[in-house]
Amino acid sequence: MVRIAALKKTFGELEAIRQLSFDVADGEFLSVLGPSGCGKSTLLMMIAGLIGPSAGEIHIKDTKVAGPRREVGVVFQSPVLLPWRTVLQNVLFPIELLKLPRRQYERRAMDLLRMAKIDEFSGLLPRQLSGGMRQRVAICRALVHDPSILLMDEPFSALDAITRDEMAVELQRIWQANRKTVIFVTHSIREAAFLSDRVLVMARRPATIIDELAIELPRPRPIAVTEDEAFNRLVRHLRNAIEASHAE
Amino acid sequence: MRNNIAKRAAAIGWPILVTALILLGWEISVRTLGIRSIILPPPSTVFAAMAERHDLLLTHLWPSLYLTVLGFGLSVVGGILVAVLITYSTIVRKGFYPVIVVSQVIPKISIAPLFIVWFGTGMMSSLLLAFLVAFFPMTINAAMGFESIDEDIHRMARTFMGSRWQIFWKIRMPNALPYIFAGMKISITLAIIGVIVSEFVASQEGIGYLIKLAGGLLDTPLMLAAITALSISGLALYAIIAGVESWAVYWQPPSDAAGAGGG
Repeated sequence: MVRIAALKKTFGELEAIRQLSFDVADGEFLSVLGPSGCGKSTLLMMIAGLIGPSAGEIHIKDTKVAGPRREVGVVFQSPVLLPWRTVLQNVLFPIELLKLPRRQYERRAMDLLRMAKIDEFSGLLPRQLSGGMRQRVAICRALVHDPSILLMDEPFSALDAITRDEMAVELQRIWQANRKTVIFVTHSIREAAFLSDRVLVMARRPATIIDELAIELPRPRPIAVTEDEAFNRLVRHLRNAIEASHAE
Repeated sequence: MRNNIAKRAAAIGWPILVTALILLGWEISVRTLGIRSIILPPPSTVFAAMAERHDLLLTHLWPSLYLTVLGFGLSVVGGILVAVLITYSTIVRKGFYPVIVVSQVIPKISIAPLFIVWFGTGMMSSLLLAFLVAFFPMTINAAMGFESIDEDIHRMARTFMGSRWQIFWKIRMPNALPYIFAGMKISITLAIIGVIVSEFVASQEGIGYLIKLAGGLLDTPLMLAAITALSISGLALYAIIAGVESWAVYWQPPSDAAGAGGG
């Protein structure tokens, strides 16, 4: 589905990403875990087609990524909602930009809002919502045009710890209902372990993959799973991998 | 809710009270000190003059307001168009924009006599001066509004394959609205000044002409009546813009109510 081959990105002298190669399967939830500033956001922006690689290629469904594409939805660190649009109008924004039939997608937008449990706020403006609700709107917006790939760039990093846990559970539920291919970038070990089918651990600049871990916990995973010994073993493993990369 | 209404009432009530006190103090001191009406008439005399000579006042107020609104309207349209050029043309942004900003230093009122030379003593000079002084704040504000797009919003729109055209109409334009209204509030005030100054310099009609004329005749009550009528008109124009703003920029909480309404 998504294939990344010998990807490299430099900004002038700075080598942000060196020789990155990995595949993401259809319907897989993949997390890219790494410390802040390790180039994982750059990687995501390249997959989204917003910036071009310095070398190497990205393929989605066997075609090379050369710019933004319809089958990709992106959730950013901040919700980036348009303050003059209501929740529903924000969710429908991609439909307008892509010139898709609005009426048809309005129902889908409402379904998504219902799934994210914010349908009763569809007529409110973003400023009337809490941070967690705004990010839910952003997720609905990324899904409204039914993309097959969802890219998420530390989407919960601006939220408080309690809301983060809640959002992780919600995201899992939404993902299970929609089965998109998700590439989730995060610096939270716990979040990566909780949500993912597979976690890639990235080292700091230049970014390379230093570890890969399959998470085979049964789904749906309740938040309580994070207290299990099996879960903590995975977290420890990931933390050791990150620390080992720092020691070098 | 009740708290909000009380706050609103206080926001209007206090300035009205202060104004009333100033007028009262003015009235009392003029009367007790026996100041002659030719130097400073009491407010009651000014209001009486306004009532008595309202025909004269309106005759001169009308062309001034007409030119103000027209000059202001042209500055809004022109300012927004130039701001679009600044946003999308590198040459305009790098070459002209700095010149526009620096030319702000020129006291544009000083150009009034030059305009009289060029365009005569008629309405054209007043209109152009009003346009000129109102144009710059409009342009600069609108350009700021178009350009102050959050990088993430721009990126978001690009991931959904938004075209330049769509990004302009659906993002830059609404984003610029609060800035445009801020510019309009400055511009309307300046447009009035432009018209009045031009009428001071050379004109046969208009409220500026009337003020100058009354001054020449030492008819101070008429002068103050004209100034009062002008001030009230200016306030009304400003209030209209502020009213349209609160309707058009509905997503911004009024700065006063923000604290009370939050939570």
